[in-house]
Amino acid sequence: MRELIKTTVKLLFRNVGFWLCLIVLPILATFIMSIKQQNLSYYYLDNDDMGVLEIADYGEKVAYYAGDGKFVVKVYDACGNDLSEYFLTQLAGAGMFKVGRMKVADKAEADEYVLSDGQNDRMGAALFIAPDFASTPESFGSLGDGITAYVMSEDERFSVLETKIERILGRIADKSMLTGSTDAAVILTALKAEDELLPAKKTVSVIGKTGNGLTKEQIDMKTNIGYAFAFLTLSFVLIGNLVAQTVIKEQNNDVLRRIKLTGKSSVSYFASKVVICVIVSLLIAIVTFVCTLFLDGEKMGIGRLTLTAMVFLMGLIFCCLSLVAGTIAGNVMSSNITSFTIWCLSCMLSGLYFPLNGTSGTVQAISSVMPQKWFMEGTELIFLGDKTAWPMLLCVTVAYIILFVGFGSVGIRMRSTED
Amino acid sequence: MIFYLIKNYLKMMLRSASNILMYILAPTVVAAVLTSAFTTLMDTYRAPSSFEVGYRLDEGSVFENGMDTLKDILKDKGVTMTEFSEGDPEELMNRMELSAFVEFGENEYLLYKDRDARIEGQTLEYIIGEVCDSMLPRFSETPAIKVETPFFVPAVNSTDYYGIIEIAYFAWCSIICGAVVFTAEKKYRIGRRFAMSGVSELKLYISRLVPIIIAVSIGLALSAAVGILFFDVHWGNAFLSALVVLMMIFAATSFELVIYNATSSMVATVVISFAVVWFMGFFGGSFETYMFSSAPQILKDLSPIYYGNRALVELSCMGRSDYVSKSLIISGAIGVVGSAVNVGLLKLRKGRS
Repeated sequence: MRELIKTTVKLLFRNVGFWLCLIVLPILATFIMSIKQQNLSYYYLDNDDMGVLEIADYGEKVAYYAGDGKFVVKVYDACGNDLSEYFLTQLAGAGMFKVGRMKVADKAEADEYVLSDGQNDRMGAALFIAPDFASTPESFGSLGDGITAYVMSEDERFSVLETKIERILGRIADKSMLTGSTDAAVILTALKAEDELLPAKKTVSVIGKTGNGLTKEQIDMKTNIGYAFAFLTLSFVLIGNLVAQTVIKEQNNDVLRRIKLTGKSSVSYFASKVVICVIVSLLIAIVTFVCTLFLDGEKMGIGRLTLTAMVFLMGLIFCCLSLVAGTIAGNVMSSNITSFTIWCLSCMLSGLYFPLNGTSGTVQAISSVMPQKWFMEGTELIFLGDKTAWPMLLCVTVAYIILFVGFGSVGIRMRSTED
Repeated sequence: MIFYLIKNYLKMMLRSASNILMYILAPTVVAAVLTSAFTTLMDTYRAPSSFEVGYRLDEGSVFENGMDTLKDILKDKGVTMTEFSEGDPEELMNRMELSAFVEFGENEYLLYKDRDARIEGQTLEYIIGEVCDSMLPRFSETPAIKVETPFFVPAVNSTDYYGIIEIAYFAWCSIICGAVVFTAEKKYRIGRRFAMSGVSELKLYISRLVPIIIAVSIGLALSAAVGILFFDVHWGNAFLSALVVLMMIFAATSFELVIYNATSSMVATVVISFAVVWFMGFFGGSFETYMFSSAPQILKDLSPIYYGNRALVELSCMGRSDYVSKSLIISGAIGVVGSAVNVGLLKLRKGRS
């Protein structure tokens, strides 16, 4: 058996593709983990009543803000005084709008962004708050001039937004008139006093609550880990496929027959290939560990050793799956296509690229069959400090390996009977 | 000779049922999953026509006197309010199929919103907020704001988006159609016989290119028909859309044949092609919508599939797109350059053999 392992390892080491999978893909996976995620988390978060969301730079898109079906309003704020803050808070608290605010210098800058937004982002409306909004005595005479609303969709809720904005401005104008002041602090005090008179609102989101207690940062990290898992899965399936190819070639060249003539059983032959999968998974896990040394540990959100262990377990599953599928496929061409299909579908269906929260029951059920889905769940549990993560991951790994090896041996037997 | 070759290749490609099935089934399945994943996010807003809400009114609540008025206002908006003096709100929502539940307290209200009826919950929250607001006295005139309507691409729903986009993605996987034929050709050393015959490299290349384009087009046209008939996918201008997809198949086939002619290995070709196309699709909007993806614009611009995707989607939702010409130029350029490289590689190979 040792000889068999040694020969296969030698064959793999001579293959350039193996080194690409072993070195390049884990590097790419680590690289993707270092990229700052921007806004996907808003889709996952149970983001009711989040107030005004701050948009740090123009690269951040607001499209995902619509995850809960609210009317998305992107605000270009050139003002930033107390009253404009009050105005935005009121708008965000109305229950129908999701407000994201980005600071700009003037209207020309906002106009430029809005033009690009119309083609590259997705929102219900955009707003521009002028620098002199509610800041000079004259501006209180024409508060509406300080706000420009841009229609950015065919959504009928735009008129509701318009009414709401004008109502808030009306209240500001009222307080200015009643207090006889144009001082923001005085008006704000009067507005807040009036707010106290209104019945307080509290909301509870019930049924099918998908909020999982992760913070926005943790969700961003989890998204990154998902992308990294996608690259690593590719590495595993390709290497598993390379091992499968050694089996196919050994079968085709009658090497397997000669091995059997030496007294080795088929079981120990395949066991040696499974051992190769263990070795390779360990190697990839080690390479990933070394790569993560170049990352800021805190930004990863997960310990290096924890990640390495997860990578190792995932490697075991996918190398075995690819080895079995490739062997059953029977020829190099089909085994390649099978590996790619496994990679594409499993990554997509396990929700590594995009959230599957809103999918139908069937898709969610299929998703539960994908191994990566459980590793993502495990990551979540680890983030939350739940100790059940490891027993779950170990059970999942053992279950998948038993399943694949079981199915695989039946498949291979059927295939050899056919041949 | 060339027509004979084209006919022969085409016959072999079309004979493989799994080949055609892949081009019909794969886009349909992938589109169905992605459509499902992005439905909530990409759906266009539809105001709820009517829905039911439960409520409980505490004694001494500020809402006590105005309750009938509130109910009338909500009734006008299609909201039916039913009072439940007892029972757990969440359980009542489940049992009575209520979209929301409101507990009106002394000087507060607690709104239970169902995550499966979010629009209804938001509408109710907004209306109650407005009713509360309207209780405040008003003195000055409502200031009118300025409204501008800049150019924007109309929203496209997930069914249309993925129903279209996945056709484009699989157009880029065209080499699979020729994989079996070329592998068999290599196995039986037909290539050497071609070298012995007087067929020029250009003709040999065309005889491989054309049948792949025809076979893939047939498969994808059938897949698009399935989308239109069963999933109600709306394509834009049929002629331009077909032209964009056709040019993408040309570019893909030409590019992937370059890899095949350079490596002489169908395995390597499939691996490299799939990897390249996957990355192109990843950044070009084949999985995560290009409007949603926060990947740097430069990566999108570098992906040829992005131009085709945008052209097809904008044709569907706007009826026109600046990206049509860009996509045609880019695909055409890849196709032509790829063809030249292919002919060069075939010549080089013949010289060697």
